[in-house]
Amino acid sequence: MRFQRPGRLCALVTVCGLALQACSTPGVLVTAREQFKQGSTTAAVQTLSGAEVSARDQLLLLMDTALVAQAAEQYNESIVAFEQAYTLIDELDFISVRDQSTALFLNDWAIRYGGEISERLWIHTFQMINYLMLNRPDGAAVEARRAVNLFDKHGDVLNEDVLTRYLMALSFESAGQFDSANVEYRKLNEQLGIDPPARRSKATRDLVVLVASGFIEPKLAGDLILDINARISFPFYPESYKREPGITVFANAQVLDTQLVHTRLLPIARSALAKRGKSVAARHALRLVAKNQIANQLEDQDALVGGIARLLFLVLEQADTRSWETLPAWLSLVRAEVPTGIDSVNVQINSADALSVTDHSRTIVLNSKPGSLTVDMIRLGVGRFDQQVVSP
Amino acid sequence: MKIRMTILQMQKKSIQCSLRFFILTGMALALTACAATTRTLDPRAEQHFDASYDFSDKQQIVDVLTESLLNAAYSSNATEKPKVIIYGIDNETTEHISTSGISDDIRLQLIRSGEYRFINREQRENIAEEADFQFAGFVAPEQRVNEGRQLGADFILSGTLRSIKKKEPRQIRLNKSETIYYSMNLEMTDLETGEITWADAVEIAREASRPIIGW
Repeated sequence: MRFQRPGRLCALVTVCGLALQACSTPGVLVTAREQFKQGSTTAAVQTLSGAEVSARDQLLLLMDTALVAQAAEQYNESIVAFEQAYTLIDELDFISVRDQSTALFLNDWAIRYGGEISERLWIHTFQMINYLMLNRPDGAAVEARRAVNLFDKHGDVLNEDVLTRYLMALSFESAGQFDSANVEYRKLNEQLGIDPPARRSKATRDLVVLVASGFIEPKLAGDLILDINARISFPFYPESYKREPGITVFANAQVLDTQLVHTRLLPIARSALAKRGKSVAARHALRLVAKNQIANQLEDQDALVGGIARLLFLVLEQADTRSWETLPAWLSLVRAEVPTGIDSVNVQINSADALSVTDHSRTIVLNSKPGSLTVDMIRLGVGRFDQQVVSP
Repeated sequence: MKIRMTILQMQKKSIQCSLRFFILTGMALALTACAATTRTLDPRAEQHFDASYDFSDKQQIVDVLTESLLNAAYSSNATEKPKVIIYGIDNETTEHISTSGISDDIRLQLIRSGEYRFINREQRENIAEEADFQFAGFVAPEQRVNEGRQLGADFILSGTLRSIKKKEPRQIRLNKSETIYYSMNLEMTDLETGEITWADAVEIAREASRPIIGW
C-alpha cells in the first residue's frame, strides 16, 4: 500500500491537471479574438490562417475564421470556412460514446463543440451576406433554404431573429424565387408585423446595407457549491444593455425613406442555451453520481487518496463556456429605394452603448443598372472604417 | 529437473517468438492501413455515399433529358436545325449544386448528336469586345469578322432543380434516416410565340440512414 499511494496520487493529479488544462479556449482563438476586437482584422486573419486546435474546438476555429474573413472583405475565403463549419456540424450530429463518457468523468469541455442552435443559424445568416456581397443570389438562396429547415425545427428559439428571416426573403427575391420570398415576407408580417417591401418599378434601384455592431457577450460560468461532493457549474450569458444602432441614409443631403430591421443576438443565444439546459443538467447529475462513487471507492482503500480525489473532482467541475465570441451584438438591415439620377448615397450610423458612442459614415456607390440591387456591409466595433469617429 | 528447465526455456522462447510474430504482423498491418491509396472510378458507375446529390445523379439527369430532347420532334420536322440558347438551371435545393454542369453536359451531348445548334450566351460580351478590337483599326480589314451575322436563337432552354428533404420524426431509435427527393425540370420555350414546346423531368428519390450513436 505504501508503494501504491504515491503512484495512484501522481496519476490522479496528472489526469486532473491535464483535464483542467483542456478547460479553456485555445490560445490561438483568444489571441485572434482580441486582435479582432481591437481592430486588427488583418492580424486576426493571419493568426487564424493555418491555426490548429484540437478536434473539440474545431468548429469555433472555423466560425471565427469565417467571420473575421468576412470583416476583412475576403468573402470567398469566408464562404469556404463557413461551409466547412456546416459540414462539421452535420458530422457531429450523433451521440459520441467517447465524448459522453469522457464528459461523464471530467466536464463538458471534453465534448467536441457542436454549436448552439442559434450559432448554427447565424452560419447561414453570414453565408447569405457573403453570397449577396459577391452578387451570387443563387448561393444566398441555398443558404436561405438551409435556414428555413432550422426555423422549422427550432422556431421556438429562433423566431425572434427578424433579420435572418428578412435576409432569407431578400435572398429568395434576389434569386428570382418569388414564391419562397413571399412566404418569408408573409411570416415576417404575421409573426412580427413587419410589412413586406412595396412593389418596386423596374426603373428604381434597391439599396440594402447590413450593419453588424459591437460584440456579443461571452458565456460566463456560474457556480453553486452545495457541499464538498456537489458543485454545480453552469454556463450563462450575462445581461447587456447595448442599444440598437441608429441608421440614416442620405441622398443629395435628403433623408431617404428606409425600412429598418434589427436583431439583438444575445436573447436568441440565451434561449438556445436554455433549450440545451436539460441535457446539460442530466449530464451534470450523472457526473456527480459517478465522481462520488469513484471518490467513495478510493476512500475505502485509502482515506487520503479518496479525500484528494474528492477535492480534485470538485475543481474539475468547470462550466463549458465555449461560444462564438466574434459575433456582433446587433445585426441591422436598412433597405431603401433609390430614385433614378442618384449615383451614390451616404449612410450615417450612430451606435451607442454604456461606455461610448460610435459615429460612422460611409459613402456607397450604387449600381447604375435599373432594377438592380446594391448590397453593402459595415462592421462596427472592429476599427476599419472609412470615416469613423469615436467619442467617449 | 534439467529436462523440465529446458522445456520451460523452450516454451518461453516459443512464446517470445509468437509475441514477436504477432507484433511484427500487427505493425505490418498497421503500416498497410496507413498507406495512401488511389484508384480510378468509372464515372458512369452508380455510387452513393449518402442521400445527397452526387455525380451519379448528374449523369442520370443528363442522360434522361438529352435522350428526351433528341426524341423530340424538333430536328426531324424542321428544315434546319433548331438554334438554342441556354438560360441556365435555377438551383432551388439546399445544396450548393453547380447546375451549369448539368446544362453544359446536356449541350455537349446535343452538339455531338448534330441535331441542334447552340448560341454561346456566356461569350457574348467577349465576342463584342473582340469585334470592337478588330474594328478599332488593329486588324486588317479582310481579316475582320463580318458584323451582323450572329445567329438568332429559336428557343430558350431553361430549367429548375428542386429538392425536398424529410427526416424521420423524433422517436427512440438507433439510426436516423432521411429521404431526399430531387426533381429536375427542363423546358424549351419558343422565342417567337413564348410557347413551351417541350418539357420533361427527372425524379430521384433516395433514403439514407446513419447511426445515432458512434465513437
